[in-house]
Amino acid sequence: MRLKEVSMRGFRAFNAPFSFPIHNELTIIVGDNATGKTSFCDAIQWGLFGKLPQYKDIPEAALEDMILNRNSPSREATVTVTLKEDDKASALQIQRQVRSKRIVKPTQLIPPKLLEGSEEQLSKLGETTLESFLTTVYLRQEALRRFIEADPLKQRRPILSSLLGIGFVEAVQQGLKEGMEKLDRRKSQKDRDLGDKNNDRSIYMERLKASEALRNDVTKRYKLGTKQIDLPFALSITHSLFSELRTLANSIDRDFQVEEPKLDLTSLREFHRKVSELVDRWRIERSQESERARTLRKKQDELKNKITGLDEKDLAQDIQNIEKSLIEENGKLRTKNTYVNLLSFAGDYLKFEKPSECPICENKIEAQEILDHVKTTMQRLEENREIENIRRNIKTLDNRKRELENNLQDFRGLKEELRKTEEELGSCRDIEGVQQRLEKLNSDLGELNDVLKVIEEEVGTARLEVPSEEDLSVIGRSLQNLTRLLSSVRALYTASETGLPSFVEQRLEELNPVVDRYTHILAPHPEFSRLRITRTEDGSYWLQGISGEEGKKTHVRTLFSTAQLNEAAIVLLLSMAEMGPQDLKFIVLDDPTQSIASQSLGPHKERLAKLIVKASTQKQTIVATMDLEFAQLLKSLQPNAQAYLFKDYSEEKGPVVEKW
Amino acid sequence: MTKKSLSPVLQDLRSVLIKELNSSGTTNLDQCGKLLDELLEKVDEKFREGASFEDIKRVVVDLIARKEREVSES
Repeated sequence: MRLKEVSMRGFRAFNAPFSFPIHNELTIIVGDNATGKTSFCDAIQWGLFGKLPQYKDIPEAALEDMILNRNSPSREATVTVTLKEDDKASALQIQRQVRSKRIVKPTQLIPPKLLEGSEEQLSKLGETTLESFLTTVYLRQEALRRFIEADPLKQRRPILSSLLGIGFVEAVQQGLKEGMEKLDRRKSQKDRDLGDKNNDRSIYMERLKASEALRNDVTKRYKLGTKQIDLPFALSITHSLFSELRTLANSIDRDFQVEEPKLDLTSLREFHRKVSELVDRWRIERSQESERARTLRKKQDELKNKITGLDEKDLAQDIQNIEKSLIEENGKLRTKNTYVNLLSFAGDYLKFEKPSECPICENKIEAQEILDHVKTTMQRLEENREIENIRRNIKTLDNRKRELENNLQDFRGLKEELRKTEEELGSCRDIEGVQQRLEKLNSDLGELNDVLKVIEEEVGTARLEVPSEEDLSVIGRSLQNLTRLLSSVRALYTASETGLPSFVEQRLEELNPVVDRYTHILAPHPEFSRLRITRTEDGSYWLQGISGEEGKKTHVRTLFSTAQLNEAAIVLLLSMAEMGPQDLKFIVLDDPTQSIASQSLGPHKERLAKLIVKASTQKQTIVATMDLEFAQLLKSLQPNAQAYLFKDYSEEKGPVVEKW
Repeated sequence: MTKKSLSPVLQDLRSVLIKELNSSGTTNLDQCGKLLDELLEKVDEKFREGASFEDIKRVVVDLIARKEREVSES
C-alpha cells in the first residue's frame, strides 16, 4: 500500500485546491521557509490520522484555527489522501473535513479493500503505532531534540516501546492482567454463588425433610394413608376439620359467631385465630368451676369415709333396744321406789299403828312380815343402792340413746350432704366434659395448625428457586474450568512479566545490527562508530555511542554535537522503521538537514542523502527541505523521484508550486 | 495455526513466553500453550492491521471473556 496522491483545500497554507501525486519511492518538496512545506507534511499526517500530534500541546480551538486556512471564506478545510496497492487497480481515499468548529468524520469515498482490514480498522489508524512512528520519524528539529533529549524512562520508553513492538507486548500483558482480574472477580463471584446455592439447597433440603416429617405425621394422624398432601387437598381437609370445629364450638358456645371459613389459607388462618381466642377465653372461664368441682370431690370423699360402716337400720334398732331397756329399767326403778316408799311408809306406820292389810296390795298381811322387812335398815339401804344403780343405768341408756339419736341425725345429715355434693358434682362433670371438649378442640386446632404448617412449608419450599444437584454439579464443573482457565491466564501473565526483559533484549539484539548498518552509512560521529540502545532494569532506555576500536561507551547526549545528534537520531529512527513490528509504509522527513551547519554539500549531507534514497527503496519516503542543494542531491541519486518546488506563497491561493 | 504464520515479533514473544512457562513449573502447560496460541493468533490479526495499544489489550480481554463463557457453558 502506497500513498498515491494528497489533495487539500482550505487546509493550513493551502487555500485554493491543490493535488500532489506522490512517487512510489521518493517525493521531494523543496522550498524556502514559509512557502507551505510543513503544511504539506501536516496534510499527509492529518489526512491519514486526523491528528497532528506535534501540536498536541496547542488547545483544540487554536489547533482548529491552525488547520483552517486564514483566508478561506468558507472556513472549511478538506484533505483527501489516496492510497493504492501496487498490484491492484482500485484506490482508497480517506477524506477529512473541518467546517468551522465542527470536525467531520472521515468519509471513505472509494471503498475497495486495499488495506488488510475493514473500514473501521482503517479509521482507527490514527491511534495506531503508525502514529507514534510518524510522531518520531516525522523529522523536524524539535522532534529530534525531543527524542534525543527525552527522559529515558518516561518519554523514550513509550516511543521505543511502540517502535520495537514492546508496547504491543505490554498491551498483551495489560490485557492478560485485566482479563485475569475479571476472571478472578468472576471466579470469586461464582465461588460465592456456588456457596449460596449450596447453602440454599441445604436449607431447602432441611425444610423439605421437616416438611416431609410433618406431612407423614399429619397423614398418619388423619389416617390419610399415602395420599399426597398437596395444597388443594390440604385446604380441603383443613376446611372440613374447621367446619367440624365450628360445629363443636357452636355447641359449647351458642354465641360463637364465626363465618364458615373459605377455602384459602388466609381465611383458614383467620378462622384458626378466632377459634383459638375463643378456646383461650373458655379455658379461663371454666377454670374457676373446675376448682369448685375439685373441692366438692374432696368433700365427697371425706363424707364417704365418715359414713363407711354405718347403717341407718342398725342405728334405729339400737335405739329401739335402748328404749326397751329404758322402759324395763324405769319399771324396775318405779317398783323399787314404790317398795322403798312402802318400806318407809310401813316403818312409819308401824311406829304408830298396825295395819291390817298391805297398803299397796290390800292383802292381809302379817304384821310380822312387815316387821321383818322393816327391821332391816340395811336392807332398805341396799334397796336404795339398787335404785341408784337403776337410775345410772337409765341415765347411761338415755345418754346412749341421745348419742345414737344424734348419730342417726348426723348420718342422715351426711347422707343428705353427700347426696347434694354428688348432685353438685354431677353438674360439675358436665363442666369437665366441656373442659375435655375444649381440650380436644384445642388439640384439633393444634393439629390443624400442623396441617397449615405443612401447607405453608410446602408452598414456601416450592417457591424456593433451588438448583438441583445436577445444576450444582454443572456449576461446580464450570467453576473448576474457570479456575483452570484463570490459572492458565495467570501463568501467561506471570510469564509475560518475567519474560518482558528477555523479549526486549531480543528485540534490541535484532535492532542493533540494523543500527550498525545505518550508522556505517551515515557515520554521525568520527570516534563513536556504533550506536546502541540499551535497557536498564528500571525500564529506562539509553542511547550510547561505542568506540569501534576501544569499545569505549558514551551517552550520545554528552559528546555528540547537535548535528551529530540529528544524524544519530535519523539512524535510530530509520533502523526502527525497518525493524518495527508492523509493516510501516511511509517516512516523512521535514527538513532533515536543518541542523547541519553548512549549507553547502559536505560528506554528512551526501551520506544522509544516500541513506534517505536507500531507505526510500524500502519505505515510501517524502522529504521536505529548504536545502536546494540537498534536494538536488536526492534528485540526482533518485532521478525518478517526484519533486515539487514551492517557490513562493500567495495569500490568496497558497503555495506557488511547480513540478521540479 | 503454525508458529510460522505468526508475525516475527509474535514468534519472538511466543518463544519467550513458552520458555518462561516451561521454567515456571506450571502444571497445566498444555492448556496454557493452547490458550497462548489462540491468543497470539487473535492478537496477530489485530497486530497486522496496525491496531493500537487499547485495541490489542481489548482483543486479549475479549478473548479471555469468550474463553470464560465457553468454560462456563461447557
